[in-house]
Amino acid sequence: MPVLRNLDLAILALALPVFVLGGLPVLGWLTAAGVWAMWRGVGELAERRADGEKDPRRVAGLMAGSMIARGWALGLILIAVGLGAGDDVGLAAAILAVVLFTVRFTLKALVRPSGSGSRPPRTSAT
Amino acid sequence: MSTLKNLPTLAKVGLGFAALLIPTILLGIIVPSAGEGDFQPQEEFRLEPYVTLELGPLDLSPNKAVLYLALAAGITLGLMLFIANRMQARPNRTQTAVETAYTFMRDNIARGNMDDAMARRWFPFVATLFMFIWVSNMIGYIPLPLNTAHPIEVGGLKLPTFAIYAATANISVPLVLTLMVVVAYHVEGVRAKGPVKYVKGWVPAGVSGFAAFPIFLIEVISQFVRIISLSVRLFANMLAGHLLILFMGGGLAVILGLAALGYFTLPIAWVFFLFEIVLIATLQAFIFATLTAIYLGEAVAESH
Repeated sequence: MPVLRNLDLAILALALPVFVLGGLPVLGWLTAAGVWAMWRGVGELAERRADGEKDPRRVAGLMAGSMIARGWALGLILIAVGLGAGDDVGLAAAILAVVLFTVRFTLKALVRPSGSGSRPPRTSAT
Repeated sequence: MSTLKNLPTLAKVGLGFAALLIPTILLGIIVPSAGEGDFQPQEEFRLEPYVTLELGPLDLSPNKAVLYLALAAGITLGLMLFIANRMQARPNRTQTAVETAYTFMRDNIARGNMDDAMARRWFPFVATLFMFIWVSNMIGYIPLPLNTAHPIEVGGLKLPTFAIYAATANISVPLVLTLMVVVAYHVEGVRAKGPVKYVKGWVPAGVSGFAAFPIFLIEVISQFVRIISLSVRLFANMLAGHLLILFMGGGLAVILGLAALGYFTLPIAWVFFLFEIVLIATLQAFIFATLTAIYLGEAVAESH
């Protein structure tokens, strides 16, 4: 389901006209777009590395570590932008980033387990 | 990099701590007053009615907690019906996960704590409790735009902000679930043994004479304590988890008026977030459902 998997990017694109027409700081949108690109990029890299790992402890460590590091970096960039460019810019970027996180997190939880089955057909109704 | 890998664990932990603490102190010196504002983190838990709905003396106004309850009930029902209507002989990963959960609830929670007849009768109740609490706990960690305490203005419209909240982090919800369980197991006990034999059964086998009376009193008290322990365990765990995430994620920096502290606490907030979503949400649902099955099984058992 590629549409659902990338719905966060569609929302990010749709947010731009909302920012422009609603009089919200475009720098906030740019910041959110930047941190979200970092979130997705680092996440993809971590997932690829985890796919190549055989040790479940290393897989769990990679995924948890990447999520903590991404969350930390995301928060720090938003705080830095808020302090440097003004509260309204930081707040707008933070809200858009949270919207994107909610969409991505929820859809990933729904879509991830729905891949095609690899289990053999059952022979008895147990 | 290889030098870092060769360091003992204690040194690695020390280095990590220093990497957190030193920039925090530096940032605190560079931007000492940043972070002061009128944002009140504790208002995240305030329940403001969306609309006023009163029925005589009863205030039925829907608020954030009601919405979360409806959402949890809707998702539980929708998810189970969706999967039940699409059962296949060659299951996909979702069906496999649900079947594993079903087997776990039936064999470990219901059959593991009740006899076969009781397990057959009460499995739907116990499984529903497990699923409802689990879904409720899980959606409690997804930021949703339902917080009216600090609205934001977009194009003249005042919109609720994103926040995390769980219906189970409000004592009313676990308490009502607990009261349902308590009524259910007392009714089942009375139905199985009759009222007198059921109450007599609270005194453990082998205890007689004068010792029986204080033991009976302790058992009576323990029946009431169960209401507190079952409800408060779920409520306190969920509330504590949300508070930890809230305060580490920025609440502490805001209260102290020191934005630099966010550098130190933010990664801790993510650690708590992962810990809660991976372990606590499921564990608390499991504990509640298992204790329910134990109480039901115990109520009809010959002696304990």
